[in-house]
Amino acid sequence: MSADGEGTGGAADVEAEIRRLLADLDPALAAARSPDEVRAAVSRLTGRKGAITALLKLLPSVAPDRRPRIGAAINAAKDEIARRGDARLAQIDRDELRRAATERPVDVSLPPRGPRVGHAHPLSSTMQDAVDVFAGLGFEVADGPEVEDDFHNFGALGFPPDHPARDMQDTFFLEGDGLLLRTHTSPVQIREMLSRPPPIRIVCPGAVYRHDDDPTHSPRFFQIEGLLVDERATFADLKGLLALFVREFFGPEFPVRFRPSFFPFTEPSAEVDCGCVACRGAGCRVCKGTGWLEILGCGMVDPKVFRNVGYDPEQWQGFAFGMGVDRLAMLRHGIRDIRLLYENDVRFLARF
Amino acid sequence: MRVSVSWLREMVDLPEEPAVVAERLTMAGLEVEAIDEAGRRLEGVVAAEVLATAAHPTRPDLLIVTVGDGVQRFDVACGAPNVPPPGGKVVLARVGARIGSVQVEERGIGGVASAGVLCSETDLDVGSDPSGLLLPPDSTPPGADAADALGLHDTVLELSVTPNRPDALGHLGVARELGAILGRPVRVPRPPCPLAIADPRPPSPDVVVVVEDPAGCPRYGAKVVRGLTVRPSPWPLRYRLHLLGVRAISNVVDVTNAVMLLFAQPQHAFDLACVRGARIVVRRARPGESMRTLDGIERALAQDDLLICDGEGPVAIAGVMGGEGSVVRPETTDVLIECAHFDPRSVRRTARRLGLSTESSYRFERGTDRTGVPGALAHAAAMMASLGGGTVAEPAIDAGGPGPDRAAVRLRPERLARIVGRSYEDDEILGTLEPLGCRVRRAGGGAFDVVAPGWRADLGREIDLVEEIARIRGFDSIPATAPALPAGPRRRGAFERHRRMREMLVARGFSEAVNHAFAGAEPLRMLGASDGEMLRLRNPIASDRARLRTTLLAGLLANVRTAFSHREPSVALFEIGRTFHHDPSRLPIEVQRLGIVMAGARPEWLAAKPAAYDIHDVAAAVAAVAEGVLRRSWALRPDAGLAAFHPRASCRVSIGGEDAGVCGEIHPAVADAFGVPRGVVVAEIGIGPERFDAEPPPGMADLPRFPGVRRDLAAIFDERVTAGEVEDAIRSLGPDWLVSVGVFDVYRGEPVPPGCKSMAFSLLYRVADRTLVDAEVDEAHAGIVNGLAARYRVTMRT
Repeated sequence: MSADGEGTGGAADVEAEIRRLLADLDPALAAARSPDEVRAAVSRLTGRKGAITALLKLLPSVAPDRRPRIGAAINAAKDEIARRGDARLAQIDRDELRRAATERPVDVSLPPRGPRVGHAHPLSSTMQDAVDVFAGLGFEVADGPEVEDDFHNFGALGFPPDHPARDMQDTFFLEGDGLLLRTHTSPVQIREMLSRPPPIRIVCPGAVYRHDDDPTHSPRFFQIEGLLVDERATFADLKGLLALFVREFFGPEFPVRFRPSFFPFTEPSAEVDCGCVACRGAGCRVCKGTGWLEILGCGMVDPKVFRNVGYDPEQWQGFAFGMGVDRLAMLRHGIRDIRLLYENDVRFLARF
Repeated sequence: MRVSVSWLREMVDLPEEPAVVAERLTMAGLEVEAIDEAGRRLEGVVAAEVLATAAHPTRPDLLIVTVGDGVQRFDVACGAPNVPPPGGKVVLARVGARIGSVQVEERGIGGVASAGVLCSETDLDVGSDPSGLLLPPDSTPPGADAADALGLHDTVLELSVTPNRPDALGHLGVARELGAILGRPVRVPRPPCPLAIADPRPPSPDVVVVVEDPAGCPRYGAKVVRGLTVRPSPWPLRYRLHLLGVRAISNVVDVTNAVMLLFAQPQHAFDLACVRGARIVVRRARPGESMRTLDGIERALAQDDLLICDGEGPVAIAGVMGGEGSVVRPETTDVLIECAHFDPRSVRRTARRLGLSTESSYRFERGTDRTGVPGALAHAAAMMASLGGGTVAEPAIDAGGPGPDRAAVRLRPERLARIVGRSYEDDEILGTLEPLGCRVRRAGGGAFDVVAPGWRADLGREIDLVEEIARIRGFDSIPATAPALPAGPRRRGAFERHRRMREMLVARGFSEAVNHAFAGAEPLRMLGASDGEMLRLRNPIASDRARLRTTLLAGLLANVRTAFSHREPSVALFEIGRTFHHDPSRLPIEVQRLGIVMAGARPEWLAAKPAAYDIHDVAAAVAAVAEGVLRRSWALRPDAGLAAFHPRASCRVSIGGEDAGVCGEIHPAVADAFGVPRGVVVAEIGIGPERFDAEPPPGMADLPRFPGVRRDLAAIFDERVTAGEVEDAIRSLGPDWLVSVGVFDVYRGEPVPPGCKSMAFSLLYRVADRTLVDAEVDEAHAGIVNGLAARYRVTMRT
């Protein structure tokens, strides 16, 4: 297009020129295969040296009364060119995505990058779940030494010297100074009671030791014991609390029964049975045909224990309970041999 | 304790099925662990009449016995010495009969077919006498079921008796318990014959009893039966003893056992002729003394052991076992029956020291009824005289007597209700305690004064009576209520910290191990423990488990060995647990620790040749725990003094500026000794509560308002120069507005000369109050570059 825009037909020429340029743009965009080619085609019109840009430069030479119309036409053409360019770019993107999806899809069946999660030990996850039930009810978690003396492990709990009650807990002794490995976590209760006045509401999870080694007894195993002391806790409350625990831990479908038993540090004492989790009470190998599984020991704290820690048994009363974490874990996961829990065979651990 | 239901039924009416009886006992605290239906093991075994006997054609030691079961005749080969003459009765297991799991088959013996077996006690598993045929009474009709004819049907309950209930170690005690539970009267068994046959000659000229140690033997009762004949007990007694797990021996010994099983009063029978000097002395053993017990073992005695002696020496270990010298023999005619009350603790110490737990010591340890001695003694003497044909000498010897009367115990019903959580009517209280043998008197204010019977030594305090009422009335009758649980502190401390540590490590791919706390000395020594630090068990499970662990690494390395024996390519384990260290001044030191072990190939994604785990993998885990759980800074510091570690990668770990443990590659020699692959990397840090109690929450500083300028720096260093020390040098050379330095690349190989490495660092410069201009950063950076060049004589690669 010549610059002799002074002619009378200048404005009409400009408009015709715009139409021609726009008409040429479409085949050029269609031929463009990449975003760069699209941008080049657009630039040939609206770039610094583009044809439309050149028309704009002619504007001053156009008669003033016609300038607004011509100017508007040129600006409208620029917008239209940009829009068609963008549309073509979007089309190329879409084509590219489609091609990528069909020609080079990502193999999402490949393993995810980075380490896979490991496995918490069933003993610790069982322990956490059981402690959580009591912690949710406001029991504090307490802790104490695993190497104990006779007083805290036996004497203060009402095990007289040379008494057969000690046979229930065959003890590991340390050489030398009369120390032993605690046979239960009850000494933690003694230490807590000796250290502060009631009320007390604690659970004591931890490792304990008894001189036993067979498919159902490990020389080291884990217990959770609980203790509640206030001025009014009753055996009925103990029943209520432990029934709640069984419901929370095993599920609401299992019945619970309390059976009288004996522990030197509680009276009345009970064993708590839960409906067999393997056969749901029908009788099987796990429950030895009884339909019941013994899971807990408990009772009202014996007044002599209170006296041994300096509490007045006429004012204070309460209950204690204890359970074997290993047994809970074995029941929950159907583990038949306790020794598996301590072999740490990674094939075993990987199941949890 | 095995309990015969038929014997219980002699004392208390029990029309219900044994399973129901068992359930009631269990729910009252005498747990029935098993129910054994006796007499159901025999099928097709019958009584038969001997019709004829003939010599066996080929075997001179056998007879061919022709027997009839009322329908058919059978020819049976038999080698027993006591085949009765024709008309006598035997027990015949015909071909096809079943004894337990054994089926009788037709067998040819010496060329003659035998149509069955004539049975002994041991053949039928109804007794322990294998020497001859078991002979039913002659009145037994041929063809009768053997179990019926021999009275084999009974139910045995296996009771688990808690240590507080020695009374339940006798059938009468169990019957009394049932009487109380079911509200039925109990018939105390009477001796089988009246005492009219008493021998008028007093025994005292014959036997003098001297108790030198009344503390060890508060009561010693004895009775003499003269002129009896020692012979087998009648079948029903022998069979009952067999069912209850006691070997039938002779009428004399069987009586002492039966009385023990009835009254829970152990007894011992001495051949009076062997009681030298006609004296019984109860005393402690003398230094160097020993005796041969009736099991034929010569036992060295300790001075704490209580002995029964005659005029010359020990004849029994009191309450534990009799001596061989005074044992009742077939030719014995005069017997001294001992029934005593021994100190439970003394019997227990001796039984444990000798490793000898007998039916007798088991009961004495738990406590026998001192007041029940004369009754049990009279029962035994009368029964023995009745079975052996002798006469009972009166009066009995009784040294020590019944002891002082028991004090009454005050029972307050409101206290009962306050403990149990429900109240009981007076008639429930009386209806429980009186059937148990207590004498109950009303005291003022609604309370009761209760005197418990001699056989219930466990009922000495109010709380003991509370338990009796609660359990006999039934725990099922107690409501389940919600305890008052006011809001309190939520102290969870270390437990919560361990949970977060566990979650952190599991998320990073580790699995958790739980090992025993026992270890052998040598593995601990190899991992750096001193002998003085290790705690030793006096009674270990095994000699290689006789120490308490001083490190978690011994267990974890053993776990790695197990994993590699199963051809695991890669193992990453951790354990949270305690280690134990001797401290002479107080209880041993227990340290809560985290141990980590990584071995084998790092499971890298699709790597063709995965690299092995190295110390940086373990360091990452330590860093995650320190920063993510303990919220403390951490650092590794090389320490060549750790013998368990490879000298090239041996570090101490500090957390929060304090020494916390070790980290490194296990020394090749230690790895070889543990049987794990070389290159195993480990860390072990203390995570004890004393060190990591909660910190106040961190305060918030203003975020930077102006951008910083990042510059990189790379140089070639000698191999021995560490990235950490270069970072320190950069920090010291840079201005105080150099806010961070971090290594981001280490490179070896062309064009870096051998023995050297290229390390690249990223530096961030920033000031708080304005944007830095290039010129000032350039100047500061050049200062660092020049400083490093001067200090390390390095070639800069920028």
